[in-house]
Amino acid sequence: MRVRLQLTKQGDLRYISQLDLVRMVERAIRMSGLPIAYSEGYNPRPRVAYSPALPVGVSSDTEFIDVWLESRRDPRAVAHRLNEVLPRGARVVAAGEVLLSAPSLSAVISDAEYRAMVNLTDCESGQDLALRVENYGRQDDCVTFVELKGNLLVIGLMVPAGSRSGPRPRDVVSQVLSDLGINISPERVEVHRCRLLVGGREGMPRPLAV
Amino acid sequence: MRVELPHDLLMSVTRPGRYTGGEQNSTVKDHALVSLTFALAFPDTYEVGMSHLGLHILYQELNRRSDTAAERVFAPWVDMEQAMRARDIPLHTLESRRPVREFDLVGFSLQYELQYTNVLLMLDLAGIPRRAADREDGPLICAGGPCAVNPEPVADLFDFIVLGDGEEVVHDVVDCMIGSSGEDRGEVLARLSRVDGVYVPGGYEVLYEGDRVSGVSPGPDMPVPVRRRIVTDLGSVSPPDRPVVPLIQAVHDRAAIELFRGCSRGCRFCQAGFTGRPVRERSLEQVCDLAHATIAATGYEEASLLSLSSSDYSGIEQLCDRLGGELRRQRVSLSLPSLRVDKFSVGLAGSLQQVRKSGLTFAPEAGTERLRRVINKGILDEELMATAVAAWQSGWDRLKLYFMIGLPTETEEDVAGIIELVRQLKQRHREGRRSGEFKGRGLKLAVSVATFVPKPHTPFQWVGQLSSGQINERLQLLRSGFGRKVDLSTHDPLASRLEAVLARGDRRLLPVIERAYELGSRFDAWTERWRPELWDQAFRECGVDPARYAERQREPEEVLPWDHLDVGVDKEFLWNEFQRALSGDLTPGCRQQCMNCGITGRYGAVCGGRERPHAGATATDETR
Repeated sequence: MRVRLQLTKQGDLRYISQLDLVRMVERAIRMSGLPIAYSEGYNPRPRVAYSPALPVGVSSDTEFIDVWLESRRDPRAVAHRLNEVLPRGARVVAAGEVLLSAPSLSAVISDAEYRAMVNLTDCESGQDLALRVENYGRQDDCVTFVELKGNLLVIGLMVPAGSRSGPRPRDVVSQVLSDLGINISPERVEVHRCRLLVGGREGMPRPLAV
Repeated sequence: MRVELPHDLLMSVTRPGRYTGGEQNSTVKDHALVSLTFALAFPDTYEVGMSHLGLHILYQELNRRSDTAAERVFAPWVDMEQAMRARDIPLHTLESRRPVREFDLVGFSLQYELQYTNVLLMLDLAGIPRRAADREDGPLICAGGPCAVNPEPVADLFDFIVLGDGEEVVHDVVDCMIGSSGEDRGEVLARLSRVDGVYVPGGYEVLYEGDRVSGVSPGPDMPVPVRRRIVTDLGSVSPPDRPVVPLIQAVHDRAAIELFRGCSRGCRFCQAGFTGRPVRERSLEQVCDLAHATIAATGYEEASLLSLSSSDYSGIEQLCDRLGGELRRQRVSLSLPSLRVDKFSVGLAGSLQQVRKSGLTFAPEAGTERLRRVINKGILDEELMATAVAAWQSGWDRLKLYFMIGLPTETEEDVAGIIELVRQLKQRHREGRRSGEFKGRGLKLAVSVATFVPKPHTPFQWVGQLSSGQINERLQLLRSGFGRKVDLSTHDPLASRLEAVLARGDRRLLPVIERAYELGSRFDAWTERWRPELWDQAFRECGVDPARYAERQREPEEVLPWDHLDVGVDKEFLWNEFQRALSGDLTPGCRQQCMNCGITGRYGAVCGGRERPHAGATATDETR
């Protein structure tokens, strides 16, 4: 059977790469004792598929992995078992069965929604920042909103993902900051991936859910 | 105090995962609920330190105690060092992010001499005065590990140093410190000096005469010699079955299972072998249990059986057969580094059929049978060939060979011997492929050539290293002899020269190390950071001639800077072995015949000669 799991990547796990994440998931699967299926060939690997890679430093509530099992299990039991062995910062928050013949995650995922937060304390932003933010028209299709709450600037983004290439969230954010006349080092931006969406190629994208 | 590592700081350095902690099997304790806090400091990067089994052994051993909290700290990379200095962030541990200077005890693992500048880096970033004599309060700073058998160049940094196996002595040290809380520093150190295996450098005065050490004078009640601690039964200490699993890629991402300590071969250049005597094995049951427990606690897909010479483990074939089979069912592969050329067999090769084959590595070390007899590694050319053939017949087509340049009595003929050996191996492989005897792809042959470094506590501890000019000449001979078809890697002779200086150095070298650090030396073992010119400058400014340490032949009656540190092997035995080397005489290994090196019965060592140190294993006879 094929089980789709929704996974978080939070806290200290933000700072590991996609490759590190893959290794972490494989170790957790091995520790779980679940009957994972393996690929064929000279170098058999556990059959796991991943949603598009997260860059280092980006947190997420909605990473998806598809796991192929050799015998049937209750998806909730799979989630529960993996949560027992995953390190802090990674949690399976939803699990469900997917048809074996269903298309791959990378084929269906069309868009990714992000939220970028910047704490503007001690940085040059000039006067009337609140006004500039309010008047900020959608200069870029990828920006869904820009809000200023006290010293915290929040930028919403929606970019093509998966098999469609799109701008990097970091670059979109840099552009917005520059448009707003904010001078700040890019490392201070905290980016979070809120949702992955499907169907964006055909029409309105809708959230991917298990 | 808990150090904050802001997001922007972590995003500005490479591999921020080195600094976050939060890994599986890490232990975070409330410091208010323990009697002693211990920072285990590894003076290299996270990825290197996390691949070191000793760290995991001590971490687990200490955290097993409810009265102790052990946490890890590694050397921050240069970009992190800069950021920490700019933001005034002190060196802190991964688990609690507490500054290292707030701990009761900080223990450095001294794995190799080129790490010494990183020790200074870490003390500096911790805000701890470097030299023991300058510290009035704050944590006690100690060290252990392979370099502890001659720690003299850095001895003045440490309040105390531990020689030998850590698992038992670490408890004695912790008990001693908890028991003497409230006493002043001098009192505590006096108590510690009475623990077997503990060396308090401040209690000894070193006297010099020209280039030589003329004596080491102990203060009142200081033991002479300092004894090495030996754990007799590996089954009696906590097995490191729950190692912390790094979140980022380490040098080795595998479950490390130690088969045995010590080595019975007596290869004359090998410090690890002589300072680890006698051989103490884990039983087959213990090895299998440990392997399964570790895999279950980590999810690693490879288990690696470690020792100085794994082919010598009693019942190695039986072990690999059984464990290999059990692990294969879990899709876990088994690897066995440190194989002997003369003990490799098709049977062993078969049981190591890994899910994915990596290469095989052997270390003939010398190019001719004559020189191999000098180093007591009497492998015959035809044994090397037979081993390679057995490996190729079993499907391995990647072979790595280790050699050394600059061994005592070496001539150009011996160097040419390396070239000839490689040529013969390649030819044999070609023939075998043509005839269909070996399947698989073309031969991948890698040759790694290091420079011989004379080490303390070995028969070659009196030998001078060749000058870097001479080394370069011989390396050039090799390079031109091999041509382009051989994957040849060499170690920088200048780095080997520094290693030779520090390995057999004395306390007069510390100012040089400090100066090199101040000039910017860090991570000297990393080729990308290695700056020999900084060391040259440091030696010049301190008025120390490195050649006097590296190249000078020591006299037989000379006091050696490490004579007051006893690993248990008699100096006369080492000298006799040196003479036998010069005559090209082989000495049988311990398992074949006891040569009275002195370790038997000393410091609790149980050395059975032909007896197995544990029950239920099959003896393997040595053929040499």
